Amino acid sequence: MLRALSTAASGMAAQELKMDVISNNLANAGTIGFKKERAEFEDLLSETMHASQGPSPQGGSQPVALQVGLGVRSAATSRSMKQGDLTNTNNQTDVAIQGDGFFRVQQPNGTMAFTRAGNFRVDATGKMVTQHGEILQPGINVPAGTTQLTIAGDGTVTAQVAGTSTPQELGTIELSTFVNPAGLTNLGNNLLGQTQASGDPLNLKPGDQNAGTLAQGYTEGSNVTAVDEMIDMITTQRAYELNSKVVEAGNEMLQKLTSLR
Amino acid sequence: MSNGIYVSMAGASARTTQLDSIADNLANAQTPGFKGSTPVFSSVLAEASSPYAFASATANTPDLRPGPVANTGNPLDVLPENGAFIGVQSQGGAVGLTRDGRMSIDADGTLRTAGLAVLSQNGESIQVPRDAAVQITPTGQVMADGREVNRIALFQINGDAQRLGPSVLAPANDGTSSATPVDGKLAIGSVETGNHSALDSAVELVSAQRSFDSSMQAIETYKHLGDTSNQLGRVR
Repeated sequence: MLRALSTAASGMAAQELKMDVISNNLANAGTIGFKKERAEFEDLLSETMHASQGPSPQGGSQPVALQVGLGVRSAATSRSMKQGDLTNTNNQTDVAIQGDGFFRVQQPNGTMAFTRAGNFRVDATGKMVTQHGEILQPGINVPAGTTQLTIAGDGTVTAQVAGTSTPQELGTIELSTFVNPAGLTNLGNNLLGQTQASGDPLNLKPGDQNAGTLAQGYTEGSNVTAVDEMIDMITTQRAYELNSKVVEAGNEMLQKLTSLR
Repeated sequence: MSNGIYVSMAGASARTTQLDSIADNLANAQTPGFKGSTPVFSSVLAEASSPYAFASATANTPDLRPGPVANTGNPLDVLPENGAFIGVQSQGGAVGLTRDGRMSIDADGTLRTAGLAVLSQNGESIQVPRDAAVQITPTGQVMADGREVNRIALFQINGDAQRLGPSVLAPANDGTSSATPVDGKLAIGSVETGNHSALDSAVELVSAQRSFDSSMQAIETYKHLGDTSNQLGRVR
């Protein structure tokens, strides 16, 4: 039967996945620290129908091969690490990163995760945690009675406690960078996990290398641009349609064929 | 029985190969580094004394024209400029050529693209320290923590190409095509998608389908001719 039918079907499946990725990007356009994703495709193996060969003793030659590709497959989703826009919130525990680094947080099961969502809060025991309760690493313990929390651009956290005159230094927020941040895996709840593709985290102080600096009182919005997603949506839909036309054409050709008798 | 019906059959069969090829070009419209191909038809078993020439899809060469470039901003997405290719170690050890420059570093620290090891200018794979910050410069240098580790080999294809694997090409095995190393530049943060335009594919799709229909019509006609001649001389 026609290879075209399954080839076009693989194209339609790929576009479907792309649409899923686009809708996830759009749904998260307002999520703090969200980085948009992109579906990556790879072509499938080609079937060689005639191999190429130089002139043969019989005089015939096949200088160029006849190879027909068998479609496309989704290889991966990769993440764009472009900076999102910063929004002023005037909240003391909101911190945004201007640069390539990630906050390191500890999940309840003890493993490390990474996030760009710096809308932290202070939990009942005084620890700085994410909105879901993952603990910021290295830990920052905010003493009771703190009136003013200051997070400097280089990560130093100081607290002004009621009844004392000198501010108290609580620690330093560190950032982690990756060789290939696009290879990080999505853990949900704004968290990312390291993979073989991303490499091991490089723990840096804010301001070192490409880690970036911190901005207190700001949150980083998602880096989704609605226009780009809309354009992608149009091309995806049209590509899907074109692939479905191939299925239609293949079907009509087979119909003609079966009507012969 | 007439030979003509087989000529029509060969024509229809060639058109199904064309449809397969169109489907592949369309399905890979957004595949980085994909080079579309269109089958070439030629007449086989044509003899001067015979009225018959059978059409057959005999060859296709990947079209090496550049495709649309998308900006990803990922520092490890590199795209050779001026249509050059990145050298990779393909399965079987031969040098493969690809324009899919979405680099990654595997667990052993080998720089890979399209799942294959990227070749340096001295023909070996490129190893980088796992814990270093890797960067690729526009001249193809692979830097680890600001120190040059190796340089990516770039090639130019002279003549025709053939497919070696997904998004990987090699010079055609015709004795005249070759690949020569070039001193090219890389565009960082860009990928090139499939180079076969949707318009071309749509037109080819219509044309393939219509040609197939015509061949089917011809077969139908031969069938009627056969039926009619069978009825000749029938005694009623």
